[in-house]
Amino acid sequence: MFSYYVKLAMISLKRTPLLSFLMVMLIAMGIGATMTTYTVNYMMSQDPKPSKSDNLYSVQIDSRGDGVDYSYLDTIPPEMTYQDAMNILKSDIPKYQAVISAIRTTVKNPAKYDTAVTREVRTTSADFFPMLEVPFLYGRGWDETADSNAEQVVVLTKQANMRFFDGENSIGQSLQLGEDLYQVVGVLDDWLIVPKFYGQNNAMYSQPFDIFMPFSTQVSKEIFTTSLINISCWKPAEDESTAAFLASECTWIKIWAELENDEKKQQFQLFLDNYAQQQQAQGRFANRILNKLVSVKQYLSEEKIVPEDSKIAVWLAALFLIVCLLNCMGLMMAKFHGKAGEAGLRRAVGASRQHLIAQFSVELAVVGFIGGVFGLLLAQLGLVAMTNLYSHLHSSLMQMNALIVIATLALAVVISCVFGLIPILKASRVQLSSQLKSL
Amino acid sequence: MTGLAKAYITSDIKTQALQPFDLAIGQGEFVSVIGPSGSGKTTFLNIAGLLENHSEGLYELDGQDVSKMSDKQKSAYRNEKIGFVFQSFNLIPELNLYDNIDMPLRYRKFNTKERDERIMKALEQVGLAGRKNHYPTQLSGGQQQRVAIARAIAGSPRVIFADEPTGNLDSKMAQGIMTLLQDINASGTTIIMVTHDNEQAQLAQRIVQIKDGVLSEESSILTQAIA
Amino acid sequence: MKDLAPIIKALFKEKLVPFLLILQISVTFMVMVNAANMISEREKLMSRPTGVDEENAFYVLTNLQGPSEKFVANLSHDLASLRAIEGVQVVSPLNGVPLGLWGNYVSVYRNLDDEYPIDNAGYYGSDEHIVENLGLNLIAGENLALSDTTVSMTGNHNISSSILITKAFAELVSPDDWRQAVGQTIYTTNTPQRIKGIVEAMQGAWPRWYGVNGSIIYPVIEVDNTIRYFVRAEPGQLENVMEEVNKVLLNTPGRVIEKMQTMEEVRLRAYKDDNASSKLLISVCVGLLFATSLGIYGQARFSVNRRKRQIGTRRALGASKGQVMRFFMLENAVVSLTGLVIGFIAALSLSEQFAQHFGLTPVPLPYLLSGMAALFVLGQLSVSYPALQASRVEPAIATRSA
Repeated sequence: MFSYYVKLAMISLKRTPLLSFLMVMLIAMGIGATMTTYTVNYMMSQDPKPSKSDNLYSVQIDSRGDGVDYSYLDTIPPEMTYQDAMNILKSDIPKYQAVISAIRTTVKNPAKYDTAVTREVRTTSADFFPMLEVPFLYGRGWDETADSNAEQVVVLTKQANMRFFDGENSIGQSLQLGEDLYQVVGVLDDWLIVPKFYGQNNAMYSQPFDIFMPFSTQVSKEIFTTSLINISCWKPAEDESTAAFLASECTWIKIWAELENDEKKQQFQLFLDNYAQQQQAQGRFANRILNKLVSVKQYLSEEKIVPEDSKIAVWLAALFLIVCLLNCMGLMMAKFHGKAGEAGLRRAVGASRQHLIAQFSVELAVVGFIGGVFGLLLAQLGLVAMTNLYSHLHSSLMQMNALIVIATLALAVVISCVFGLIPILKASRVQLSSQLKSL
Repeated sequence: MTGLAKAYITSDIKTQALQPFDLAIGQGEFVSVIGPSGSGKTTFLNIAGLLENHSEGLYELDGQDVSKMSDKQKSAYRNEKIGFVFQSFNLIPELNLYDNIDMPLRYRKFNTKERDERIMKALEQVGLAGRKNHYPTQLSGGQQQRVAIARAIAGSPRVIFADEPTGNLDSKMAQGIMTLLQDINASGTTIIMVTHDNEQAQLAQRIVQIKDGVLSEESSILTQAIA
Repeated sequence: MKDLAPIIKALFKEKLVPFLLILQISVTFMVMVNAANMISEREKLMSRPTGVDEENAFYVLTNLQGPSEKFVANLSHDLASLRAIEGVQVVSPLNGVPLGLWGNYVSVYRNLDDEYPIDNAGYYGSDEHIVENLGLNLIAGENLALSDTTVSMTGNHNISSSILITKAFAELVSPDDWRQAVGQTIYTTNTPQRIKGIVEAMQGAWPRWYGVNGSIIYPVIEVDNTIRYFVRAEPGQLENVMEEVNKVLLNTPGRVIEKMQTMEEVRLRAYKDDNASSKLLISVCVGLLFATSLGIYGQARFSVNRRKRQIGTRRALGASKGQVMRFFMLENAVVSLTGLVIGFIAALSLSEQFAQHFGLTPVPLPYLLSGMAALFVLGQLSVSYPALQASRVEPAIATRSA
């Protein structure tokens, strides 16, 4: 019966080409606009690491001393001081725990006659790679020994390996960062993490940095790039030396930890609070404990990562879709008005109201489906336009996944039927006898 | 049918379309309903064919009280046991002959093969077997009415209601249609035909006359005609 | 106007179709005025002056050759060679650029042991040429002098100096009369700073930051392994100067030029999101207006087709072409006005929702009124062609059978 209805629907659409075209285009326009904005918003607010994001926490401790004004005491910066970071890193409660910072430096392959280029380098610790399940093409991440010895090792992304080593297996080769040589220990496979929650807020929708090196090496080499990180100091450093900076109350290092269950989380929270008490006793921290473990999801929402414009755009596009559908509904009324004769005849020869409702619903579902297909095409154009408009964002944000494609088609079909409900019911309630004379 | 009446309700004027009447029709009969236009013939046919509800009295079809049937049951009854032939043919212009005849069969649980057999048989019976892929507009009026008849008989109904079946046709075509209806009646299908043409009415076994909503049986006319 | 009563009666009888149009017009109106409001808010935001002579200015981000003891000497060498370039007006080192999206801010206290700061201010460190360099407008006090300028590895920390503040910040320091801020001492990072002069404007680094208009300029040159030179070229010389600066800088071995951006590019980048949003909003509006006028047009056409006989009868009974046309125009006017009144209320409540959830300013009344007028005219235009067709229906159609 379904295929019969589809056949009837196709015949009916062909019978009134202009009307059908208008209906399809209206649905396509509405769906196209909605799905363009929704895709961007969806991609921006997606879970960066669905397999374990519930277990990943930003470790935040309140290291501010007494007598510091902080009008908003309940917000703690997600960064911490060097000394606190080093102390907290010692805990073995988390399954994995990684510090996060960044530097900018010149990079070149010393074996090639090539000018150096400037690159941002992610400085972190060994756990970073297993914690985020980073895929490797060659080699692997460095180990904890490399961290504790501040070894001069780097891990490259696939793109960086392509740039500096022409995509060949570069394990064991040297790369020059600044004035020093670093040994390549690993090359990543294609790796995408959106949003890139672990780094800077303003770079969450850009590619991961090209190069990774141990944080301990950054410190021992005394390389700091203040324009890449958030530094805030409630008390200035003693003097201008690196040692003074490291010993200062300036917060600038992020720590992310993986805590597999609630028990571990409580244990770690207790550890942080004990640490804070200990620091209070030494007169460093103020007399309050505000330490927090903030999950990825909470972190993203607290830091207001998804731009509000993007949300507003989705709402406006949805309203646009409604206008298109209201418009379409009017056309459906006109369409079914012209089908009253057929409806009456079908009823006379024995179709029940349900038969007619089914037939008309399939007809609108077909319109909706075709509208959905065109809507998808329009949305692709829309996303290309968005990629140009928002060229500073990651282009993977502007791509639909299979789920969205299917959802779009389903949405188009469902809304067409929902908005067609009244026209359908009206058409199916045809006065049998009155239609047959005039047909 | 006993004591049936139908009132048309339009905003504020109430019109009694049919006065109460009693009528019984048996299986295999050919009944003509005659009367001037506006007399209530079509209302009678609509009620008898389950297209409209009656407002008073009792209408039994096959021993079943029609007023107690649900809309769905009535639809199924129309589908399986009743065939309609209309004055204006009522074929769907965008479907070919085959699909037009297929239409009522689609609402029954026939498989493809059975539907095909029935459609082809009906087309043969009305003499249009070779034109199953044609569209209604490619046919003459008489041929279109034959298609409508084929559609009515394809589901092997017990009764066919024909509303002025020859009203839009010239006399030569009309004659062919009447012959076809008589053939169908001969094979056991009840036919109830509304007409304003006395001559055609004479071809039936019984004639019922409706005038100003009053229904009366005129067997006398029949007797006179034979005499 | 005598047609009005039958029109309203007919609309009530038809119910659904006019209702759909009314709904459509009201949603369109609601979205349109709110979107227009958002666009103009953005325009306002983007048109705030940075305070800088944007046309002729650019900056270059490059490295300073180490070791750190040589930073200052290398800096002086760079500045000297850049200033020698023909077409260069002024060059200064500057730790960040207005609207550059990366920058610093400081908390500013009135007294050393105050619990709460006056407010936060954008922080700039440069030399005594900065006012001339950026083309700032000094409106009170004195300009910085060579004797004020110091060099530091960590910026303004622990260095007490004479500073310039923007008028917006002066109004916070001295609410009664901003001019009185000159000569006052304020504290940043526990260090006293004397306000020497006030400039009209110099925006901070982040266009969306609440304190973007309140900035402080310290005569402190921040040296590091990376340095930013801000260059103001003679009018019309920008391109040549940029090329020349690039060439001169690259004369130093080991030099890497990380970035070179004109102020116009900086501005474009800073407001990229806003520009993109505006474009998106404009396309939504255009789409909406298109869909709505299509809807009005389509419905009018169908209703004319359906009522052909009725129109013919009217014509036969003596209605003129103009009267038939007026009937359809009037019908649309009734539907549009109803939709616009509902839309007016809806727009106000949506505006309130947006104001509450997204912190937008409510839609001002002139927007609502001009939006209503615009949509009304659009409706009349969309219905005019079908109405014209209606007026051309032959009176003879009334006598023809269906």
